[in-house]
Amino acid sequence: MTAKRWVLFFLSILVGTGLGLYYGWVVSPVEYVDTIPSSLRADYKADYCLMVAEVFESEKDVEAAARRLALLGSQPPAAIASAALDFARQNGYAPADIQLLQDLTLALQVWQP
Amino acid sequence: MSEKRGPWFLFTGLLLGIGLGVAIAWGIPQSEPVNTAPASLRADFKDEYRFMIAAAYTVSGDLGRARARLATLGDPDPLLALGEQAQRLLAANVSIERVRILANLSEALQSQPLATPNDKTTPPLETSTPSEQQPPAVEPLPTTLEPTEDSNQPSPTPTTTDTPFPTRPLFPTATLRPTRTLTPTPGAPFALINQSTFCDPQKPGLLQVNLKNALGQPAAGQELVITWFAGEEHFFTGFKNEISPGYADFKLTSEIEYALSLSEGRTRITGLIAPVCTSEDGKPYPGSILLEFRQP
Repeated sequence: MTAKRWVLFFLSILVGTGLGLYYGWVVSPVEYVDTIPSSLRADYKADYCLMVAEVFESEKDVEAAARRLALLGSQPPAAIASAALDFARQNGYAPADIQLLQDLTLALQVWQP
Repeated sequence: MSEKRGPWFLFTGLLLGIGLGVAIAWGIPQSEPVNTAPASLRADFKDEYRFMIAAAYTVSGDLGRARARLATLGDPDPLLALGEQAQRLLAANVSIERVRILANLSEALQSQPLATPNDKTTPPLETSTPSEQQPPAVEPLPTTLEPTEDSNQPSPTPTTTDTPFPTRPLFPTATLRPTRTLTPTPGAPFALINQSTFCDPQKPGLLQVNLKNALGQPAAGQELVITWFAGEEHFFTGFKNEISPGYADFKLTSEIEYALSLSEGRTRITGLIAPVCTSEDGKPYPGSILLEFRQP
């Protein structure tokens, strides 16, 4: 095989690799199942925190709120709530929702487990 | 003499490359999944997420938001999923309050249809498709929205392939409603309109209850209390929608007398004993009881 043919051969491998990567990453990517809440996308985490904050507003049970937030990872519940609050502020959540998250964050910051 | 060869080596190289590319894309997993969606959660975590959606709805009363949140779980039938979760909770003998929370949302979803696409009371939900390469331009959202019970359409179920998350919140945000405690909807007590027994070897010893409201529609989310000498259990209509939203059933034990209460005890049926039936091979088995109620 001539040198030219070798070059073309390796070029075709490169092109094929690109096509394969496109297929594997874009057309038919790996889908994860049985994931855990700590792997959720930031907006879903923030919305889950908002749900906890909504319930907290009614129940006023900090311990229950902390327990629910623990689902989102090993960070302290106050840190999780604070991250959700930051996300809410950066993404234009309604003032009422931001207030709920603020209240929850504050309650968790002063809470002693 | 020169040997003429076709361009088949290029095709071979292409195939090898494609195989290599796919092997790299699929074969090198991330150390751990990131940016996942609720639809990919493990079943027990999904249950917890679903319960929080119902609990948040109980407080806020925002059905549109609850519907959009449920859609992210990717359940083929969110109502069925709610019902099955409630059944699991009942079987696990957890607090009846938790079951009521799920029943509350289930009843609301069944009683209130989706808004039409022309509903302008809430802004359209952000959608993202795999073809999006850039986040959409940020537009300021209204600081307060009209609280609504319905949204335009549920948000699509994202997958892990979603491009960078939108810079707008995924769900419509609404002005907080006053907190509300969970109280039963007042109304005339259900009245018994039919009581019958039947033998079905496929479903032995079943107390079947069908509830209809004053409009003749199946009444979902109604609490039923069954008592007997050794105990008491609570169950709800609306968790077996494949039969009817107003249907509920309870497994009876032979030779035990039960009493059924509903409408907060204003309706009570006593003396419920599973009839004795005989199978084709002459063996006895417990029959079933059907009770039909309707609000006047």
